[in-house]
Amino acid sequence: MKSEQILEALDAVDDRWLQDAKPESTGFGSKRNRLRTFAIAAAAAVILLFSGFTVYRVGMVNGWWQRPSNDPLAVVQSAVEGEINWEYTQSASFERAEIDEAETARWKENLKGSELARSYGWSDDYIEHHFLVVRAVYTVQYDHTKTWEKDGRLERLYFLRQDQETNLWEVYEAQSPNETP
Amino acid sequence: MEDEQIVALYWARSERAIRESMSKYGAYCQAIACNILSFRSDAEEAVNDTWLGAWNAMPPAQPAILRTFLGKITRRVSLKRLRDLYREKRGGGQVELALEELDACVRGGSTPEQEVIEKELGEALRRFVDGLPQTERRVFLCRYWYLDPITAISQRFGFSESKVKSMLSRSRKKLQAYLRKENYL
Repeated sequence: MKSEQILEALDAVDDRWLQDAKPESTGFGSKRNRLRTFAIAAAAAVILLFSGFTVYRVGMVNGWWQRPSNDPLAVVQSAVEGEINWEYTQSASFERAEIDEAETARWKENLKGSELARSYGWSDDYIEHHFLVVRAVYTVQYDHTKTWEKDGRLERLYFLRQDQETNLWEVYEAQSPNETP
Repeated sequence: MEDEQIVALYWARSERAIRESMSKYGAYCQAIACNILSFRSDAEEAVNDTWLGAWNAMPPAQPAILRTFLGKITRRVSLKRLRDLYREKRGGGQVELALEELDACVRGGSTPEQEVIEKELGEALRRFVDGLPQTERRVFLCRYWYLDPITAISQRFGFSESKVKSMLSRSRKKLQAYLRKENYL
């Protein structure tokens, strides 16, 4: 087989994934979302100016719109609410999140000594103390002329790691969501 | 104009369909063609051929997502144009780099007696991509479908270039293992 055959055969990839890889408005999303993001950021800056605190704005981190934080549950909430930045998202509302201890333990064991961990330079000790799995429930509505991803009330596992320099938690991957009644 | 309205124009054989397609998706198709073809004039010809291809395809086609329908036409036309322009010699740029990267998936694993049927390979790759985690899938498709440079991918996702390369290396290893399991290698 030649690599050219792979390149051409990729033409059969599902359209929804092509849309997902490059939504129609990339980066900050639509003009409406950009204006909203700047408005929120401006308001936050004014508040912070008087409060004296610093905070991370929602931004693109590891391919997710999120706000890294000391609170892993808050990070997941920001990732859920950050869905609104994708052009195909019509609404996104966070319901609840909790650390899933069983999934966390299972994920850590899978990661330790894995090729993924080696490629990122993650030691077993780092994995043991700086990884979490969070289970979240949320409701999202998509424009199905632009994406075929499932929407509605969903449950999803988010995989978080703690940055070694900032000690802030951030989402780096998530499982495909499941519908929940 | 909404996609449904543009598709309806194609079905009604109205030339306004092409003007509306150019207006809404011209930049998108141009970006795909430019990633494949080195010369802007070749890319522009490929995009022009896209509108002709769309005109000939609709009807009977009634794409649910017009953007990717047009993008696929542009990509096919551009790859064909590249082959026609350079024959046995690879054209350089992002296509050559992507092909060199994908070579690792096919080198050393094929059995002489096996012959790949293009359609079956397409379906196999479709299933492979379906099974990738979300972020990895996005990066993989930006590189090997859209043929974006590594720097553009790293800026888009907020990753370092080394992280993008690592992710793509893992994806290619997964692809190689998958193709081997499916007896394409």
